[in-house]
Amino acid sequence: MRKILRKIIPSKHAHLCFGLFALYGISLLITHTSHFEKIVDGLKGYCYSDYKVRNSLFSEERMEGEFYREKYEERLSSLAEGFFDYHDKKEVQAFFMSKGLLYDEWQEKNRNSYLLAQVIEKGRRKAEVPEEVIFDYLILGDKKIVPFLEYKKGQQVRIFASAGEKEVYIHKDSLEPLLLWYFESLWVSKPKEPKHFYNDTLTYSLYRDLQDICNHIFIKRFYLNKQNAQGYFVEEAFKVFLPTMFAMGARMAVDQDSNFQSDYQYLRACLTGLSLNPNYTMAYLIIRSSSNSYNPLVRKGWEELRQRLDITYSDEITLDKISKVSQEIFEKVKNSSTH
Amino acid sequence: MNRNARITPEGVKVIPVGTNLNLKNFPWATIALLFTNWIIFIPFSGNFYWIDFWISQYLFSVPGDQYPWQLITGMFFHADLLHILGNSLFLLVFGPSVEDKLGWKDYLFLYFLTGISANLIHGMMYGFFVREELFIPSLGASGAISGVMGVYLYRCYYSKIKLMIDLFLPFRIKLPAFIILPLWFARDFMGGIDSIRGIGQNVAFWAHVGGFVAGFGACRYLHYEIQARREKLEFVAQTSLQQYGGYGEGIEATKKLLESDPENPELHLNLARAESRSWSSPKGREHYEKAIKLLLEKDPEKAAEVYIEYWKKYFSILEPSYQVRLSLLLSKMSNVNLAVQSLQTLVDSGRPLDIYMEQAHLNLAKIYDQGLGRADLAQHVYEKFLKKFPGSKHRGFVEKMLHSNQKGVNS
Repeated sequence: MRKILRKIIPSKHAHLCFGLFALYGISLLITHTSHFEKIVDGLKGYCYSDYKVRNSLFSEERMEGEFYREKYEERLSSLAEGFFDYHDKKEVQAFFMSKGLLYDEWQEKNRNSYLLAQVIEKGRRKAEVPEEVIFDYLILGDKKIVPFLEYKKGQQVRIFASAGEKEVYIHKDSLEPLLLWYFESLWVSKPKEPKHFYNDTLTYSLYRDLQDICNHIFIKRFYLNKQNAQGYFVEEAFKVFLPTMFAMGARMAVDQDSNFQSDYQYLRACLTGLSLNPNYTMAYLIIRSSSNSYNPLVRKGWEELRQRLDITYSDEITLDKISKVSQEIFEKVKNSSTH
Repeated sequence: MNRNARITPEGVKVIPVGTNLNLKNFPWATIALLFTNWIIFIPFSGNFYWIDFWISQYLFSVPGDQYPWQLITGMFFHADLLHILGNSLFLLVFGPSVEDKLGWKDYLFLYFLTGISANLIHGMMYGFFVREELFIPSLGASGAISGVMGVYLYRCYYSKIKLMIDLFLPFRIKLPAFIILPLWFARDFMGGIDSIRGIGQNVAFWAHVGGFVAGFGACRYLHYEIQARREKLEFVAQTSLQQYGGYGEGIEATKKLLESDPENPELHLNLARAESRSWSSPKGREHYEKAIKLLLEKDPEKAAEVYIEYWKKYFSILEPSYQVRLSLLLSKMSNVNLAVQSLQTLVDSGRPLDIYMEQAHLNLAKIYDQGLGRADLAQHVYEKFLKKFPGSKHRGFVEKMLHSNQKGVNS
């Protein structure tokens, strides 16, 4: 034994093996996942395999999705044992809310859609849209499970606000990646004066909405530290757009008990948001995100908004015009639907 | 196959197709690794999703929730044909040279060491920066292959990589390994940064980075630079000395090699041939002589062959002690003429009369007498012997031979 040890200990190959064991130990510490993280992953696997089943065109694909869903279901039920019954939505919601996450599931065309997202802020608001409404809201951050529409269409879908069973959800991630992207490019390009923001319509729209913030950060360069500047930019920009999102949420709260189709509801919310708290960036994003609704009324509404607010000629569009046009289209679609 | 397996379609634009290194041995270990990868890939490449599920859970590497064996088993699975083809190509280009330099045992040791390290580092980076992706399985040999590339850079930095710029372009270029491999590493590193920033490409870049760093670092710890420097000199010597012109670099490299290994007959021989290529130079002669002397101890037959080459260029003999042995070898190899010529030159050279000169006379006479049937010439040599070595212990024998020869000549 001693002989073997005497042989092994000075061997450089053995040292490398010891090093590998050490690396394995460190890796175990870093990659150790909590039971909660495993539950989230199990739920993710279950929800996404359910989406896969829903999205599948061929029977083979469907069978595969069903198989995976079943396996993840088994895994989830064993992981969740003692914490919640995953068939009981309220129990699941209570469990995740205690961890600062919102869980929701709802039916879309008789199929499930799920949402699991970080809760940044929750509260109650009063608004007039023009109907007076008091609603509970949740500002949601990072999504761990995205709703089916986002799963299917990816980044093309930008939903600013949506209605839950009781609360209205404000989706911060509908703007945050975009703001980060623009911050990155503007920080690098170092604009010296306002005309340097005229590169493209969206940059210009952002500049028009966030003039003070942009001057502060990009032109005057008050922040030397990039990370601080980025944090400030995203937070302040979000504050500028938040009233529009709240107005959208308020409209959703008013419409919550109606039997409106979801895409019609969303159109109404967007128009309300833009008419009460207009801004260039969201107007541009709303106009550009094409709606493929089957509802002719909704299609017509989007089309008219697109035509009347042609943001390509940015300077002709003012906040008043955005507000006025949105209000007019809102009234028009409202009247058409009631007649 | 699984939710989001990290696959590695290596080198989409710049494809390595070979190196300029020659192999001394057949790369058995590399072939065995390739064979294993394909043997595992073929049966599992169908749409057997019920098997895939279990494999992805228990055999792929899943940093957030895995058994230790998954660090190794994950290295042998590939997501699709493009994935395994890409990895096989890279392994086939870099593996054989590394195996050739290291030997199969060290090669396999480093292959597994870097492959496991790659999986661990990939997991650690995700654990630090994108925890929610810790449950995404990763698979493929690319981490270990990056390790092999790291070893290649350390050990074969002087070589050149043959590259195809695109699959459909007809031309190939050769670029130094010390340029192209760091570029690949930089690409992987940037890919890793992107993956942390959420710009996903479904490629486990940190496994590549980890494998490469582990391979390079292991070489450094094992002090492979000593062998690497020597191999570079050998490579330069070998390639440069074969050229018609501009082989000065090869001569310099061989001289440097000789400094650390002065008793290497091959090096002396290479240098002798290079130095005598245009004309018979004293330096060339010196190295020929040294090579022959060293070869006489290690490989006498080759020594005799080299002597024939030397004789053709220099018409010269070595010191009596070596020349006597060489002549015997030559006569054994049926090159009696050269044996006689060289011995005759030695006998007539007027060198100090020692036991080797004694032996040279006797051998020459013997070859004349028995090998060529020239008793008259043998008698002449014997007579010379008696004059030069009157007190020799072989005097009796020589006189006897003379006597019998005289009889033969008279009759």
